[in-house]
Amino acid sequence: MSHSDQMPRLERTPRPAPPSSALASRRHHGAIPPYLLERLARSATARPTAIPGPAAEPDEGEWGTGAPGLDVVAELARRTLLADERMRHRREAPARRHTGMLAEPGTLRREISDAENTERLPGRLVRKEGQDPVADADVNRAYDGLGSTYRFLEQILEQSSIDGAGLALEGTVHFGVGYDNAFWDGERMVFGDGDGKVFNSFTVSLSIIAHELGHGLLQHTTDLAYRGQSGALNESFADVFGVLVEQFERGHTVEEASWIVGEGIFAQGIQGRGVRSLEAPGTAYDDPVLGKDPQPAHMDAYVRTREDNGGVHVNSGIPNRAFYLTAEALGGHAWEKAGKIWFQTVALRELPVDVDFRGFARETVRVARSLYGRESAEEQAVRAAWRGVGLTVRLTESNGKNAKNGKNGNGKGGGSGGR
Amino acid sequence: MRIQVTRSGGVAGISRTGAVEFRLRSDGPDAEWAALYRAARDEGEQLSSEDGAAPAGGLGGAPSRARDAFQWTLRLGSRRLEIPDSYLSGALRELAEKVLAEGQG
Repeated sequence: MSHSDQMPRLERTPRPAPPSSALASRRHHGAIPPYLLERLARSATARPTAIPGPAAEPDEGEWGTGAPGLDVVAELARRTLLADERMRHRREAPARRHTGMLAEPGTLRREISDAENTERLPGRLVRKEGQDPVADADVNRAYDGLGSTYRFLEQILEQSSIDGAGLALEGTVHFGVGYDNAFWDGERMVFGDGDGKVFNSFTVSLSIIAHELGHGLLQHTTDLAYRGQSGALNESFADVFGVLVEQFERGHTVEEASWIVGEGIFAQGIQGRGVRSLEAPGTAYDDPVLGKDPQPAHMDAYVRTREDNGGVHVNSGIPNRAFYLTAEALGGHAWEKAGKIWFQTVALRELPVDVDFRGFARETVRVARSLYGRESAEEQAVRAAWRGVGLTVRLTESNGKNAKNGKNGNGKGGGSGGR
Repeated sequence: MRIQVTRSGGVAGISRTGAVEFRLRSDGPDAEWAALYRAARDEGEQLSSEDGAAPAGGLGGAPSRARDAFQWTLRLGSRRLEIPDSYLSGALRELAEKVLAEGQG
């Protein structure tokens, strides 16, 4: 039997199981929105937790066999939620329409908490804005990383915090025991310590810290649905944001930058520079324990999978590479032009949240044209970059309103990928 | 009984899969697995009978505001469950982690 398809023989410190009483409650906050819980709690199809199929052994008959399959329920919920998200998107969009980059007042407010190796959030508040460094390096790195990200938002994207209105930036460190992950829970970034064998603490990388806040930024602009191609675009945007904040902090040009997400998070002995390369997706690591970086750099190698929400961390390699190619063509500091185009693309809120690669690509070309002019070097760079990953963009000039500032004033929310 | 577990997603995007096979009625080394499986299965029933918890246990890929969270796919015999990391707990989590840790190769 070889069932370990991607990452065999990973050693890991087993975690003590949480008490069973924790079962009924969520282990940490924000994974499923309350309205979904309510909707499904009322639904007769909410009960099954398994797909139907013949029971192979008599012992197995107790888990809701014969009820509608999990996938059916999930798909229904997905459609419902997608519709909800579109509605919400449209309701909120007009307030920020035509504004693009925002300049609203606000000040940096940071709060770092310590989960003290539990999985309870937010944990105990250990350092807030203006307080001196503490003895715990993870706390200080998270604090500093949030500060770097805030400065990037303020100075380059000209907005206060991730919501454009000075939202407090919150982080929790020491989540779980040897927890091999960092995530955005909808309100805060959360960092595990890593198991020490494969992963170090996830706070050591500024690009990872900023990546998580990139998800937060999207949540407050175009909250690309976290599944399939829109999910891969969500991941890609977070990667782009992550590396740009790091490049800005280091003052690196396109040529000087590593274009690696997560430098330093692999433990000693692991063969890898980080978890992803925007310059050369698929080359970030190649290790006997980890396996090889599975990212495609071109549509030809697009990965179809049910795992990872449809491969959102895998296929993000394609738009990542397109961003790199744009930045490479334009030179200088990547945040100045390529970053501006990508940020405008989500900040304008023209795209539907379930946009695919092609729709997103088209919008970046349109934004480049509106910012820099028709057939400008910038527009050509963006177009060529997408062509380089197998996506050809054709803009149809439907009317004369596509000029300055990029908006055609059709007044409809949700946008359309089809212009 | 055959159990296969995949943990995908996470900010690193590195998937891990493990599988074990054991006899449900056994006095041998399989007895520990069988006991853990039964406890996990009981918790699965609890999951499906409690309001709110049920969809959580069953909706691994549903949209939420969480990003970079692990996604678990558990195959217990002929059943397939998708569970977000934030909802996998108790004996079910213990079983899933044990399969990942020990069910390699």
